[in-house]
Amino acid sequence: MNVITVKNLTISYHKKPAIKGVNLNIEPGSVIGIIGPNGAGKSTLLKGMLGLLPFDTGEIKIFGEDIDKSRKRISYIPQREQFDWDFPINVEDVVMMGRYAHLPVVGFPKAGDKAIVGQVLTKVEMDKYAKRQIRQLSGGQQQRVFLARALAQESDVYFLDEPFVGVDAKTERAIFKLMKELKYMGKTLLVVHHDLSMVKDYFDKLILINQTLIAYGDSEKVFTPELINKTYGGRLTMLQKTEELVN
Amino acid sequence: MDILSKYLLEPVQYEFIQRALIASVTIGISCGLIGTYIMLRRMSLIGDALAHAVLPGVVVSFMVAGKSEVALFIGAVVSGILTVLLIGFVNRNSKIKEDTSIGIIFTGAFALGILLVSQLKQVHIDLSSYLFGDVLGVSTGDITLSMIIMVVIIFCIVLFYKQLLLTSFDPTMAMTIGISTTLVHYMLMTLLSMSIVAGLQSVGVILIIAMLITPPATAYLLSNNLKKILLLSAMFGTISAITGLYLSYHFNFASGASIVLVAVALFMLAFLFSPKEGVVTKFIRRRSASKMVLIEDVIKLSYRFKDEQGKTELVDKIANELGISNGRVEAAIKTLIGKDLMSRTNGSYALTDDGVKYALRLVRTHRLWETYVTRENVVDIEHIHPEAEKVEHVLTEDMVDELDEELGFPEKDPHGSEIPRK
Repeated sequence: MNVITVKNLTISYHKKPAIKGVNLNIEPGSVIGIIGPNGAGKSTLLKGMLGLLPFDTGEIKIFGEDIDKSRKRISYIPQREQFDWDFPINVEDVVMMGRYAHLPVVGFPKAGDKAIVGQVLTKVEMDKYAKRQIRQLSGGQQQRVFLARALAQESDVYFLDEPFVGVDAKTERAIFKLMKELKYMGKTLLVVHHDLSMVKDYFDKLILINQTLIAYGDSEKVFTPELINKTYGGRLTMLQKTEELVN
Repeated sequence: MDILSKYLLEPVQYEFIQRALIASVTIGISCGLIGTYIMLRRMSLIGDALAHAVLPGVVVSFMVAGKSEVALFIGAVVSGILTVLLIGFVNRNSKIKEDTSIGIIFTGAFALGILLVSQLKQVHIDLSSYLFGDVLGVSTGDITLSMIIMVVIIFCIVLFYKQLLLTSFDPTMAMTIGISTTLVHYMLMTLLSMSIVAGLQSVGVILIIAMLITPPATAYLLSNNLKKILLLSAMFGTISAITGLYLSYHFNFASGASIVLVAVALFMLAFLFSPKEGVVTKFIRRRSASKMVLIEDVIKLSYRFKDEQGKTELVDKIANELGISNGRVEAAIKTLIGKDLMSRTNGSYALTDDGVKYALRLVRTHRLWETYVTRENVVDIEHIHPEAEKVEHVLTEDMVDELDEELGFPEKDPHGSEIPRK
């Protein structure tokens, strides 16, 4: 069964379409890169699939169901810059948020949840820092904390928004290793990625997007000069320009 | 009667003072708790807005039901929520940003309230007591109301702790796991309106804003832990309320104003002397840090010149190297002897075993750092030394180990000198 099915998805900001008519069938057990230039709608696609944005047309199913029914099976690792790092919270408490999806509306974390938090922190080698306030960590350590949070969620699909931005080599290796491990456990990972280096190493499949879906398929087949040019190349087409004037 | 009972117990004999104390303590706690979330969500402006915007609700409730606590409560909460809805509506349906939209709606609502007060002569509302409160005129009904409100606020914060935390810290994740940020927002706005109602009679709208913002800010300067901040904030609210009331009784100050001034005084104390963030504390720490740098430099140089025989020669060499007076070097050495890092042996100074370890750690940090920046091509080899001179004093041992691992445990630094192992 497909993990995610996207049919004819269009999402607009202030009446301007950010992505248009996207169709995707995503199968389980792979690491998929979402590639495209700035403003191509990479994050929009990701947030659309997470059910965070209203869409104009189209349909998204996760495990064949509406997003609201599959929320426990997805987790999201946001870009680092969106956080208030002075927030009074420590590493352990951030990771515990991963367990919130499994707790009742009124209910407190149990011993089992705490054990899971401990395990995932060890897994990303952050157990030493459990009590640290999050400002007092390096960029790479901060990223590993949010990875740990997603792991604590024990979900089947992971959405990562630019996880490799501003991290050290150690964290890069850690993220890469975790992505592989999760893949072999049959999980699906969708990763927004901003540059073209390492693309073939990181991802089994690629979604090339620039407003519309340019290509989706195995990295080996899709990562070709023609398709990359088509994704990144050129100015706005005449069609896009007129559309901007009309809207 | 000794002084203590004269100053502390005398006021409590009066029933109106007792009521004032209970009312202002409950408000201190309510505002301190709700205010913590308002501050963390950067919504202080909305606290300000709601405090004013409940006025029309208060007036209408007077018109309909006279002086009734229940009607007052309903009127204020309803107009608070309406204000929040309107602010959001304007914000969403135009390019006006939220702060501007807040400014427009709350002044509008406040003006409407004033208009109603001035037009409806049969309703008597004392505007100045609305603005500044009259804690000495608190009735038993007011107390019951504000105690109920406090209990409701505490319950909501305990029961929905995780929803409040997650929507404040990471609203996007909250949405992905199906927590409605809108619902939590409106719950918080309702609680905020309620805490405003509770404070109307005693401190008044203007000063309620201070009670919502100042104690949480004070607590935030003192702790990095949300639960502690909530407790401290409620505590500072309480202390401000009690101290302010006593000052007001003994010196005949306006009660609301003295409560707020105590809160501000507490904030200033934290601002200047907080162990982590205080302005004065930081200044002292910087001074002791520069003293630390000097001492560490002296250790390192004593290690480098360890073959120097006479003690004056050693001091001279170190002083020359650092460009400081012999006296300062001597002073630093004295400190080191005091810490058992150096010892005086037959007329000369020598590092103890601990001193040598310390020196090697500094050298290791310095050389690892130089290796690191050269590898990362940050600067060329000529310019890395001065930077490493600074860095060696600030990197923690954890960071140095991490650096070492990252570099694959190198043996030599870029200048070709050996890097001491741990």
